[in-house]
Amino acid sequence: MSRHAQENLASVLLLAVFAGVIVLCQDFGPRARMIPLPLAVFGIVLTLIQLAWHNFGSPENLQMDMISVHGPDVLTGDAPVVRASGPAWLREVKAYGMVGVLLALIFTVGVMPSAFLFTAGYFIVTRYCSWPLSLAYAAMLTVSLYLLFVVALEMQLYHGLLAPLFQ
Amino acid sequence: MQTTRRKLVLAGAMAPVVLGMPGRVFAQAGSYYKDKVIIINVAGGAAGGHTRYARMLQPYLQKHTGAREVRVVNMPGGGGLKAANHIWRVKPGSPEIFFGNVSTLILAPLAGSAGAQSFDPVKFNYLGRVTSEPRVLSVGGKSAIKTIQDVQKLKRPFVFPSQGTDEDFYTMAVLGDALGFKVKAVTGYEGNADTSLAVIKGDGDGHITGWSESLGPIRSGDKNPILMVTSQPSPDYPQIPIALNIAPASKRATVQAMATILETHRSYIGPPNMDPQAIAAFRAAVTAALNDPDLIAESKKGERPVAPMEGAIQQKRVAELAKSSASLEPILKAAVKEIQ
Amino acid sequence: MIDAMVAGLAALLTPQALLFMFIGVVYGLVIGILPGLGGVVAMALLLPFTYGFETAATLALLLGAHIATIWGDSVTSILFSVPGSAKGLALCFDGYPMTKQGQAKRALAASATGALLGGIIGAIFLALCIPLIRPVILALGPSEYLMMALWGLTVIATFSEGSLMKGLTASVLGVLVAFIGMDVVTATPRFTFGSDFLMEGISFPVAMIGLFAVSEMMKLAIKGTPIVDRSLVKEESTVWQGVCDAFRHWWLVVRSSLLGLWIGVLPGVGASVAGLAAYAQAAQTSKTPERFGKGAVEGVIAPDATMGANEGGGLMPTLAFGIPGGESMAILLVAFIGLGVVPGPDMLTKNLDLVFSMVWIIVIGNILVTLIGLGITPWLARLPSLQANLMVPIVLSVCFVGAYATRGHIEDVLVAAVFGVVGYLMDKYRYSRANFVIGMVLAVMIERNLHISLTLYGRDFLLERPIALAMLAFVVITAALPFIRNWRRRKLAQAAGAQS
Repeated sequence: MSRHAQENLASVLLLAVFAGVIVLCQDFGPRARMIPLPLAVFGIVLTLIQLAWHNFGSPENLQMDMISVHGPDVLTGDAPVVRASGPAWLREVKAYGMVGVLLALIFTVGVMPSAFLFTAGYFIVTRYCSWPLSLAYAAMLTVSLYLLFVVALEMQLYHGLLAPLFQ
Repeated sequence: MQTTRRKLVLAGAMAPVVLGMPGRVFAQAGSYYKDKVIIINVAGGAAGGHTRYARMLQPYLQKHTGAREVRVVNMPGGGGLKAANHIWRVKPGSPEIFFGNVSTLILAPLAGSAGAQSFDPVKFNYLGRVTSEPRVLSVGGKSAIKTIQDVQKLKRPFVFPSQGTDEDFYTMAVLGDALGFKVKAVTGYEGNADTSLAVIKGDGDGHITGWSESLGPIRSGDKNPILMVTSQPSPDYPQIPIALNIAPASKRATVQAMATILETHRSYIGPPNMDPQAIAAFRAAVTAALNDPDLIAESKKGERPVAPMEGAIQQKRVAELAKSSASLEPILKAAVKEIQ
Repeated sequence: MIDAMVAGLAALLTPQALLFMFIGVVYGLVIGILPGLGGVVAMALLLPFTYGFETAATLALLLGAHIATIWGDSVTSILFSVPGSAKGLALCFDGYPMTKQGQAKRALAASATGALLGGIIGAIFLALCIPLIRPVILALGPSEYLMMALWGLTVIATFSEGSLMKGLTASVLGVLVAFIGMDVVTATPRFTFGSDFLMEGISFPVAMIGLFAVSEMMKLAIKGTPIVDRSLVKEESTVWQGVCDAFRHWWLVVRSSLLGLWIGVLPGVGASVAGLAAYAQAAQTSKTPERFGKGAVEGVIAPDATMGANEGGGLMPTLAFGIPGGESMAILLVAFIGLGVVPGPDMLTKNLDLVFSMVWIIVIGNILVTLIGLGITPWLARLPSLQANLMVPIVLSVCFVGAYATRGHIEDVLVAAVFGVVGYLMDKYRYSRANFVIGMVLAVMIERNLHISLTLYGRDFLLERPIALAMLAFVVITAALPFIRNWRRRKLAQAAGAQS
C-alpha cells in the first residue's frame, strides 16, 4: 500500500473512532456528554481538514515522511541508520509479532516465566549470543525481576491460563 | 512484655468462647490459616482510610491466624465496587478477603449503580467489623448556618460538595428527604481534602465525613459539626444532635435504615463460597486481634478508634437490612438522576 | 522559629535517621526507575517497616524515598523516553532528544541539579511563606484549577509545529481515552462496553509504558541500532556541563520552583500538572521557544525544579488545615499514627520542630539524591548505546512486568501492548504522542473543575471569579507569546533581508 493510501486509511480509522464516540455519547446524560461529544465532533472536523490537505494540498504540507527508518530523524536531523536486514515491511511485521509473542507468553505461562522465555528466545533468534549465555542472561534478568517485583514490592504473580493444568 | 503476651494468649483463648463455638471446632478452624498467605484486598488507594486500618490490623491478624503472611493489596476503583466484584468472583479456596465498607455493598445496588449489579450483598460472608465511625455533617466555621435547623429553614438548596456517588452522597440524599430540605450536590471533587476546603472556604455549605477525618478542622474552628448520622448520640459529643431524633415520625424508619447501614462500616468480608472452617478461623482471628491490648493501645495513640462487631452478628444485620432498606431505593435513585 | 529549625535539624543528625534517609533514597531511586511505579507506591510499601523507630528516622525513610522517586522517574524519561510515572512525562520532551544527540550526561546532571535547587528553593520559600499559605489556599478554587489545567494544555502548541491538525487530533484522542471508565461527576460508565476492567479507566502509567517504551522498542527492533549509535553520535557532554546549566538558568529555576511549591500547596492539582505547567512556562518565556521539544536543556531543568519544590508544598494543607493534600501526605499521616503525632494547625505551634525536620529531610534528601545521581550519571548515560538486540527484550520484559505491577491487573499488560502498537503507528504517521498524553493527563482535571465551576457559579463563572478571569487572560497571553515572538522575528528577518 502506498504511503498516501496509508495516511488516508489512518484518517478514515480516526473518523470511525470519533463517529463511534458520538454514537456512544447518545446514551449519556447531558452532563456526562458535555465534553466528549463536542470534542468528538471537533476530532471529525480536524480529521476532515487533514484529509482534505492530504489529498488536495501541496506535498510540503503533508508530513508524510516515514518513521526515522525511512526518512530523516526529525529530532536530530540526522540521516537514519538501519542495521537490520530484510525489507522494511517484513521488519515491521516482525516487530508486531514480537509484541504479540510476548503478550501470548504472558497470558499462557504467566509473567515471570515469559520474561525468561522471551529474553532467552530473543537472544537466540537474533544470535546476540550463544545458547548457554542467552539462557544465563535471561535467568539473571528473571531473577532480578523476581527479587524486585515479587520479593521487594510484594507483587502478586499472574501464573497464566495454563496454570490450572499444573495444579 | 510478659503481661502483654499473657493477655494476648488469653484473648486468643477467649475468642472461641466469645464466638460461642465448641473448642474442637475452633482448634480445627484456628489452624486453618496456619502457614498460609492471606491476601487482604483493600477497597481504595494506598493512602485511604481503609488502608490505614488494614495496615494497623495486619500484624495482629498474622499473629492470631498463624498465617505465614498477611498481605495488604490495594484495589481502588468504583468506590470499593471493584474490590467487591473481585471478591464475589474469586475461586473456592482462594485466600483473598475484602476489606472495605459494607455500606457500599448495600447502597450501590439499591441506587442502581453500574458495577453493582452482579453481586448480592447478603451472600457475602461477613467476617467482622473493625470500626464504625460516626458520620458527621459539618458546615464551614464562618458559615451563617450554625445548626441543622438553619439548614431546614434555608430558602435555597443546601450546597453539598462531594466526590461522587459515595456513601456520604447517599446519606445526604436521605437526610434531605427526611429532614425536608433541598440538596444541591456538587460532584467531581478530588477527595475529602478537596470537599473539606470547599466547605471551609464557603464554596459549599457542608459535607459529610467520618468523625476522625473532620476532627482537626473542627478543633481549630474551621468546621462546625451540626448533625450525626448514628443510632445513638455520641457519649463524647452529646450536644451534636442525631438525625434520627430530628426526623419526622413518618421518615424515621428511613433514617434508621441509613444509620444502621452506615454503622456496618469498615469490615472484613469473605467471598460467597468461603470454606466454613476458614470463616470460623478468620472471624475468631478478627475478634482476637481487635481485643489485643497492643492493638487497642496503638489505635488510641493514633486516634484510630476500633469498634468491633462480630461477623456472625454482622451477617444477620445485613440480611435484615436488605429487607428493610427498600424504602431508600427511590430516594437514592432520584439523587443519582439529579447529577446526571 | 530558629530554635525549631535547629531542633528539627538536630533530630535528623542521629545515625539511625541518616541511615534511614540513605536507605530511603536508594530504594526510592530504584522504584522511580521501574516503569509504572511512583512515590506513593514506594512510601506505601515502606510503611510496615516504620513502626517502632525514631520519629525523624521514620520520616526520613518515607520522605527520602518519595523525593528520590522523582529523579528516578526523570532518569528513564531522559534515557529511554519511558516516564516511570505521570510526573516524569515532561522530561521526555527534551531529555530524550538530548540523549539522542549524545548529551545524556548533561541532561541527567541538569535534571538532578534542577531537582536539588528546586527542593532547596522550595523549602526556603516554604519556611518564609507559612503565614501566606492559608489565604492562598482559601482564595483559589475549582475555577482557578481549571485555568491551571488549561495552561498545561497550551504546551500542545509546542509539539504541533509539524501538522497542527494532527497534533490537535492526538490531543483530542488522549482526552477521549482519559474519559474511559466510571465518570465520578455523573456516576455514568463511559466507553466501558460493560467491562469491569474498563470501568476503572485506563491506567495512566500503563498507557505511557505502551505509548513510549513499547513503541520505542518496536522501533529499535525494526532499525536494529541502539537508541544512540556511538559510531555516529559521540557522547560529548559532561556531568559538569549539566550542573552549570542548572545554575546558569537560575531565574528559570527560581520561577519553576515557586510554581511547583504553590501547585503542591493546592490539593487536587497534582505533580503531573506541575511538570507540564513548568514546561509550558519555560517554553513560553524562552527567547528561543522553537528549540523546545528538540533537546533544550531548559525543558529538562524547569520540570525537575518544579517537582523538587512540589513536595514541600504538599505538606502545607496538612499543616494549615489538618487536611492531607495528596496521597503522599496521607501516607505520612499513617506513619504519624504510629508516632502518636496528630497533624493539624497545632503542628505549627506545638510540633514546629517536626515540621522543620520534614523541611530539612527534603533539603538533605535532595542533596543525597543529587550526589548519588551525579555519581552514577556516567554509567547511566552508557545505557542508551547498548545494542538493540540486548536492549529490546530486557526493556520490553521489564515494561510488561511493570504494567502488570501498576495495579495487579493482567488486562493492563494487554493495554500496554495495544498502546505500544498505537504509539508506534502515531509516531509513524506523525501524530504527536506527547500531545496525546498531555490530553490524557489534563482531561479529567479540566472536566471535573468545569462541572464544579458551572454548578457552583453558573455559566458566567468567570465573571464571579476574578482571579480565574485574570488567570485566563494570562493563559491566553502566554500561549500566544511564542507565536507573537516568532512572527516578530520573521518580520525582522524579512526587513533585514529587504535592506540587504
